[in-house]
Amino acid sequence: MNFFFLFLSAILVNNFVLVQFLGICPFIGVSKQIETSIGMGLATTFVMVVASAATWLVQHFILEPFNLPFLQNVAFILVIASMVQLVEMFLRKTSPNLYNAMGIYLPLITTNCAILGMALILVLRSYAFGESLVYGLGAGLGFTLALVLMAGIREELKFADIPKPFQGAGIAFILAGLLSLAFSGFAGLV
Amino acid sequence: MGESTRMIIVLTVICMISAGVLAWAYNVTYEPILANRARALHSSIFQVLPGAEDVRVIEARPTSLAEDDEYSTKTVDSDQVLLLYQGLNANGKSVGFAYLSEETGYGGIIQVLIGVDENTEKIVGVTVVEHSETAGIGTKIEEEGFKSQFIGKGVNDPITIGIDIDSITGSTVSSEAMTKAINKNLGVAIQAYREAK
Amino acid sequence: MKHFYSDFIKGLWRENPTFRLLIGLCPTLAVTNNALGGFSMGVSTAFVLILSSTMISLVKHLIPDKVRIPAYIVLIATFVTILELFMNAYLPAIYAQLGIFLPLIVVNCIILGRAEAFASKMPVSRSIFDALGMGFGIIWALTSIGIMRELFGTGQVFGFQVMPSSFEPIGMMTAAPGAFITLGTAVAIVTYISDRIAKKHAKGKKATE
Repeated sequence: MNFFFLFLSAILVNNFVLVQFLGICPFIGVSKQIETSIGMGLATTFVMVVASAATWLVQHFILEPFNLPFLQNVAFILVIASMVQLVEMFLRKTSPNLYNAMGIYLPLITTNCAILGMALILVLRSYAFGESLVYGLGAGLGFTLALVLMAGIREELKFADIPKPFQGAGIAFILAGLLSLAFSGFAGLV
Repeated sequence: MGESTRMIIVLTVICMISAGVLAWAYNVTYEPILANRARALHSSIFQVLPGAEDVRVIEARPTSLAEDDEYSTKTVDSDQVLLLYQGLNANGKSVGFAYLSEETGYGGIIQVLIGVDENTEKIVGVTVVEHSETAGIGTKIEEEGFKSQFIGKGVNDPITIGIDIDSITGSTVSSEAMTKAINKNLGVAIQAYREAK
Repeated sequence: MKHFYSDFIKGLWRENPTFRLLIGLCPTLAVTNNALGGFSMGVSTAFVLILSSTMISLVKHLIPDKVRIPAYIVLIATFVTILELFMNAYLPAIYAQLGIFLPLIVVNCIILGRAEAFASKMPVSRSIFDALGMGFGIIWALTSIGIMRELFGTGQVFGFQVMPSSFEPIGMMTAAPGAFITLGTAVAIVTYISDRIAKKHAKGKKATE
């Protein structure tokens, strides 16, 4: 499949957060500030690309040849957890500031359903190795885009007069709904 | 026992128990899952072959390619064994046959079941068996409005988007894939059925 | 009997995972486009939650602290896969509807969260009640969202026509934007009711002081 269209569709047409509902927990939890959103988004994108390669390899060299489809969930999540661990260790050595700024969000990437979701999708759609990497990159960037857009709006909310019951999560979801409505305009683009 | 050793042993044991339990569960559910798929296939066959109440599976090895015509996409994929599902009505007579064809769509493979009439050798029914198309957009290929375009088509029809089939607005890839899936093996399937009958 | 009642009841409202704790949100939005989907996902998640919390509470002393997260994850993934296999075998229609979100229960923050916060520290009996409460909380939360979306999106509930034929369905409700907006409104309603109850208690306290 054409890499460019694959990439474009992963970011916009089938945006992981706003169209496919993957990665909602960090989307609501982290998107309060633009800076943390960019950090979380890029860290997640990095893990996604690495994870797409790792899970593709596990699927094609271990699960399929030995006929072990029932081990997919366990194998994939262990691979993802290890990748996150590696990224953590890597960040701690190379950029302690970023590591501290990310705080608890880094290990939380493991439970980001977007990563496991992406791995399951690329197996479901029988993507080749290159396609998987492109897909992982697009998915991660789409996630980052959604996060940053949301953070941009939420930062402005400080100056808005929101009814008490809606403050916090309530208004965040409504906003996400409006963003999702906007993104549905991309349907049919590819 | 060192702490590291303990950690490794515990994790290994957990993984081994997990693998064992899952292998057992897989074996136990293997037959029912296969049976479900067969049942679903049968109900789809009855859908695309009106009047059919029983199915007879024919394993066909097409020995000759369908004639080359200007719509030559009909001659591909003729190396494999083609499974033809002959539909028998209440009197045991054949109403036609159905076969599966697939093409890569937008989100994955689109698998279509095509029903062909016994006598006219024209398409009498089409249904999508499997797909991963985008909900609300690509899934429109399952709607009657799109599917009905294929009914009555035969080997001599182009069955091509833009010529005799209209695609669905906003899901070009899904529409094209489904059309190609129906187009590409039609001639081969009909030929194979004639030989196997 | 000690804490069993409070362990159970808190999951239903005060610490409802979906509406109050705001965890495990992905399936909440994805499969609640009709009531049956919401209900099935709720039951599936509750099933894995109860089994996992029970199992983890049983073996918590055997697992060294440093490897507890990977160990819990493998346990949870195992239960989810078992659920997947049996659902595919005996309930194929629901299995097809839940799709990719069934295996995603593995990373559902509710399950790992309860394991970390409760089951890994509390005795088995209390863990079971905690899981049951959270489980039922998820079931009613997801089912109610599903009912809302199906009702306004198609006029039906669980496939039965409820709205009069003059009702014009709001298609957006069953699509992505509708999911977000329904959840946002639901959270706001629950927050409003909780605040009212809290205010009443505060007033009641003042009156008796």
